[in-house]
Amino acid sequence: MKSRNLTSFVASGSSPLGDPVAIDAGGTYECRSHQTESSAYVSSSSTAGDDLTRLSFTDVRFSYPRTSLFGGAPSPVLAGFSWQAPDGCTVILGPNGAGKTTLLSLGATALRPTQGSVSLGDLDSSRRRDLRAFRRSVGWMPQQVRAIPGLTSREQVAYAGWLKGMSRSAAWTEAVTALERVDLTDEADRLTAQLSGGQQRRVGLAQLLVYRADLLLLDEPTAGLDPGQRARFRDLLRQVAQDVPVVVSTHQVDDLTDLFDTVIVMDHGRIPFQGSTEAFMALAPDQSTHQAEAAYAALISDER
Amino acid sequence: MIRLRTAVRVMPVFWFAIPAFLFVGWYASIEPRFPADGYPVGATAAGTATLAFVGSFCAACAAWEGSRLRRARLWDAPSVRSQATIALNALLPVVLVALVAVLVAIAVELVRAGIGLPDLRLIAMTTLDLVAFSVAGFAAGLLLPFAVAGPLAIVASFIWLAFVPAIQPVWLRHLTGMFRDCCGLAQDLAPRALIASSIVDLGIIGAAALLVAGPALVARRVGGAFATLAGAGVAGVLLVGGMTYAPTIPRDTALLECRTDGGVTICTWPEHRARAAQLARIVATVRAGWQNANIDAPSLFTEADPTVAPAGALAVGFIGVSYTEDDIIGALATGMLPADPNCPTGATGGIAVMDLAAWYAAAGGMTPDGLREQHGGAGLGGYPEPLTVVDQLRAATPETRRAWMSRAEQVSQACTDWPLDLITVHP
Repeated sequence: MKSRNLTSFVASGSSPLGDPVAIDAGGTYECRSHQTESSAYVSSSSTAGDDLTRLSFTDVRFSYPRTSLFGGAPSPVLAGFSWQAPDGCTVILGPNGAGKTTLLSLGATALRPTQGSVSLGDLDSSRRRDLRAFRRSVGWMPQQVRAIPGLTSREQVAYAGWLKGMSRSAAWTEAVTALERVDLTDEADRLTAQLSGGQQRRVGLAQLLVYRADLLLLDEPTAGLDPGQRARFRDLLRQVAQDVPVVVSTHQVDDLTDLFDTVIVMDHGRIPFQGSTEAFMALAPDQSTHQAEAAYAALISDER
Repeated sequence: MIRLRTAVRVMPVFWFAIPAFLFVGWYASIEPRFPADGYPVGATAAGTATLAFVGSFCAACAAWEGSRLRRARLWDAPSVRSQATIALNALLPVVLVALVAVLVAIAVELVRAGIGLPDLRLIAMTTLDLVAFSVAGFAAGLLLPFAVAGPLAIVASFIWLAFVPAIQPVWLRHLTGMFRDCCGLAQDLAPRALIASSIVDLGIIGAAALLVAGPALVARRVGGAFATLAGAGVAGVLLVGGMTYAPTIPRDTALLECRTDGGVTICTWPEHRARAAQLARIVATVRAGWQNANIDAPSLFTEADPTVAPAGALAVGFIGVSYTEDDIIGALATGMLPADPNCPTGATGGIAVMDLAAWYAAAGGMTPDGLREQHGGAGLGGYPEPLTVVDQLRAATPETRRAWMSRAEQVSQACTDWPLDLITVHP
């Protein structure tokens, strides 16, 4: 398989395999619509007419800044990159260095594109007046959830809410609910630094839930966790995804579950595949025992 | 922090607040100070001397808060709150606790001086100093591990606040915001010292802000911070360069309260209003004594700074609330002395000044005990004791006295070797 130009791929509206791709503007949130009726979670920042779950990149170029005066210009991680996150829940697969973290960091505005724009609905992250609303709508969990020294889980989650613009009292109150959602009520008054790695990830997730983001971007959320913790985190993610669309990056193919509506494979700053989970699985040779790994291997080896 | 209770539990500035308050209160209570004499500017300045300790405390606590954000990687996180708001949230308790510590010291000084209200300019200056130290410490904590940033914040701020005021040139101290050499009753705070130290504080704040939130390129951040700091330093030096050790200007003489009685006018500061009558009586007694001793006594006595006192007036300083009558006579005698000729070390007519001071005090009516206490002791360089000279002058004729005083005043201005023969009293 030859790599494809992403722009033409999106414009064509078809996957590399010719399957329909979930990029229609009026699409439904598969993962969120599973149990819409049971959801009591309503976005606090969405406004009528804005779809603050629709993250898109237009002709984005990004290079990590030089840190030395005499260093040469670093090669761009993304160049001419255009992409629109599909509706529903999405998993981004790709090897280390593929650009997944950069993509999510740009989507969260933790990084700024050197060129091009990143937008969320009508909000353009490069516009000063949009930035606050943009950031309030996106929840980003980086690869490593850091404990804030001295703070308990509840205090850390509340502080995260305050950083996202909540009032102190609202953040303090909502932190209880957020911790409840990630099943950490019993640990609310323990120092975050004393929690296990898996519990700290859940605190990280609660930090996003406390301010009710419209879209969650989770970067390698299960990396470094033992199998039990990973399974538990996936279950948790499944619950969370009922209420809010999620984009998860991972290089671990076994993170791929039926939770996700769309699978994206990223490599060297490009997207050689975007399609449904079924379409992705179909890439595997017929006899494969581990279908997902085989599909991924076929795609990546073809790319390289 | 999200709640006060959380802040009190996790912020070192609260852990150490009570010990800090007790320490600065004790320090202010024992510090030998310039007599504030009921003067708010002097008493407040004496209280701000504790900034040397409180500034370091403040910088170190701020460094801890910076390192907290650094370790949690929150500073560059995509927050809705601005970095300025996040920094303010972290630093406000630090600055407030540190400010309260200085206010405790100022309160102790005010109580010692018997005054009600402090000088607000100095409190504003102190607040700006503390903001500058907290921002600098915070930046250090964001950029460096606390094991480095903490000691660096303590040492750097202590050097700036305690060491720089002790080195030459003496006006360097006016850049630090430490105004402990301000102010006697006849002086006011020099605006250019205030402005210079404010500019330096703003330079520190600007440089620290550039370091933690400036351009991505490290060289540009460092260069910008250095340029900001250097620019502020140069502006400050241009303002205070050439000043003396005291960040003062003469106090506005329009505030003096004058009374004339029997041809003698006495002008005192409002802080001495309650003692004006006593001062008038003492001055009248001293003046009569001087006239009897053939000393030309002025008819105008003023507490104005000597540099702005009217010609022919006797500028009197240091008449403190706790001063005795002998102290006041000593102050009047000192006011009569000729100006210091500022001679090189080892060549001075200073011996003549000692004898003149003893003579003016004795003639003005100082008690024998007072004379022994203030002017007793062996004469220098083979000279007779000043009190022996006084005894000789008491016994001398008016002409001899006048001739001696004339010679002594001339010698006191000469930067020559000890002028033994010139100032000997020749009966």
